[in-house]
Amino acid sequence: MNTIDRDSDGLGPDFPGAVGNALLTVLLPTHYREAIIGDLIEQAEADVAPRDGAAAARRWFWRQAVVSASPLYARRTTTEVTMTRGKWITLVLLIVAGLVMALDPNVFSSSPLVIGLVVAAIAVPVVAGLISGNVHTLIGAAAISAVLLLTARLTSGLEIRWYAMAFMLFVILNLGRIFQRRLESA
Amino acid sequence: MAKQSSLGDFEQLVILALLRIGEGAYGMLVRREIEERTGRVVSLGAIYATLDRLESKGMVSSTIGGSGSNRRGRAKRFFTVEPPGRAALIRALNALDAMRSGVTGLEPNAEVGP
Repeated sequence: MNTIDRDSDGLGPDFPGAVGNALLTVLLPTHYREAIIGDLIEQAEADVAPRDGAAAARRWFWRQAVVSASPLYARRTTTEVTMTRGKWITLVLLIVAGLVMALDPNVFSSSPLVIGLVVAAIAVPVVAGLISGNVHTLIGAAAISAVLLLTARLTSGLEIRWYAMAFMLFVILNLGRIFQRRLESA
Repeated sequence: MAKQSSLGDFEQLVILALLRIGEGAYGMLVRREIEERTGRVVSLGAIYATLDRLESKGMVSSTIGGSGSNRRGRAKRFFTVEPPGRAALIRALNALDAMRSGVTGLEPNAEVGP
């Protein structure tokens, strides 16, 4: 008996769901997001689900979404990102904070998991701040970063004061930049 | 003399795919066309990044089109090759043909060999 899940609904009527949509909003740039998600759903249901089943089609969809993100962001980074004064200040502050943190023996004497969490917590807002001016992306990046930092704190009891300071600066600078832009366009 | 835009290898493939598909070409069909005809596996992101680059050069244009239940209501983005894109492709192919012409073993459909 074939045990592959071959339900007739394919990916399901609500796919990718509320959480999936939120993830895709962060993962894919705005300009082509709708077209890419639609294309992937269409191909997953037309090609992958009939051949390998619905579960495999869902895995294929997410794998393709992740793989598709990097060339699109690379394209956006090389063409659309202009380094404003606010972005340079954000970048420099975060690099300085990262270096200070790296020199703090408490962080890198921790477990690999904690090191990974802290590095990711820095990388997420840096990347988001550099490639996006979208308030939802920045808030999402700040939230992800805060969760990573909190997880590092809870799992290690480590004081990450330098990074916490840089994180607050990131939030203040980027929100300030967005409000300034809105005031200018009002 | 004005500088003419040149096309990279993958840009040529994408424009050729658009021309082969004709009306109603969109990302998924372009990807499928390239994979089926060349055997080259490409991500949809690479296709859209290339289409975006070509669009910024004025070589292709795009319009938002129909959606449907098989796409959960997500609109398609249809692409069309514009005259500068067609001209750039012809120049690229002519240049390749001119360089290939007369070189033994590089005739069309030549064996790749070991």
